[in-house]
Amino acid sequence: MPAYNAAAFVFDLCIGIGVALVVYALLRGSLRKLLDRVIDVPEGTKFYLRALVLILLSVALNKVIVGVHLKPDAHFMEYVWAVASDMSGMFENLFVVLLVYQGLITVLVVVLKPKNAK
Amino acid sequence: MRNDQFLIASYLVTGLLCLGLAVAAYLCLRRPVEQIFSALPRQDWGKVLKKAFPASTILLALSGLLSVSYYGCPKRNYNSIVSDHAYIISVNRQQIAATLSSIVVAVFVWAVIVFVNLWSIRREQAKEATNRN
Repeated sequence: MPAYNAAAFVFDLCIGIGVALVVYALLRGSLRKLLDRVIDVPEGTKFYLRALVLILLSVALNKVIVGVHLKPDAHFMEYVWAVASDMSGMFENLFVVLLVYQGLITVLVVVLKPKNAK
Repeated sequence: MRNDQFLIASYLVTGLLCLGLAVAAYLCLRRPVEQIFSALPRQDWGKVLKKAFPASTILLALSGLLSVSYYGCPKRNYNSIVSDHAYIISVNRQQIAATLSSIVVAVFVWAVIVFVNLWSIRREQAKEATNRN
């Protein structure tokens, strides 16, 4: 079943990019508001938002690219397990990266302090 | 296509793809980074950072590409590598993945550098405000 390798790769790719973009879309609005209040230079907000989307996409693609590579005689469910294993690794990496990014933003907010903070 | 030609062509295509990824990451962040560094109180320092940004981002990404070995584990010899196209493609995938990991590291490092510089801009502004009062 060599076609399954390609199908699994495309499925992996779509899920990976989709999850990364959904996470970014969820965070973008509130993160932009927070950064606008904290950072004096307007380009600073743009930098941190672009950095976030770059990091999320790179981490998602990193796992997907290496991803599914089974022998032609593998069964359908083996492809499903391979994709599931990829997803698991990708979610784990996204979690770690988000944790590090949030840590960085927390330090940034604590040190720079929002403009109207009391 | 002969085995040797396949190996060279795949190496070249993957190299160009990885270089493209690194340049894309640099171009994505270039404008905000340059404007932040232009706002620094010390212009000479801003200039150094502006020049270091593309160099470090692209070099780190390429170091990810070059860090992947074809010999693998357990160690293969050249003939077994060159005759196995599936293995070559899997190494190419690992090279792209290593490049993406390096891009993540580079972006995080630059996010910290930008943060320190934003802090310095804030301190300079606070100092100016104190002097005015």
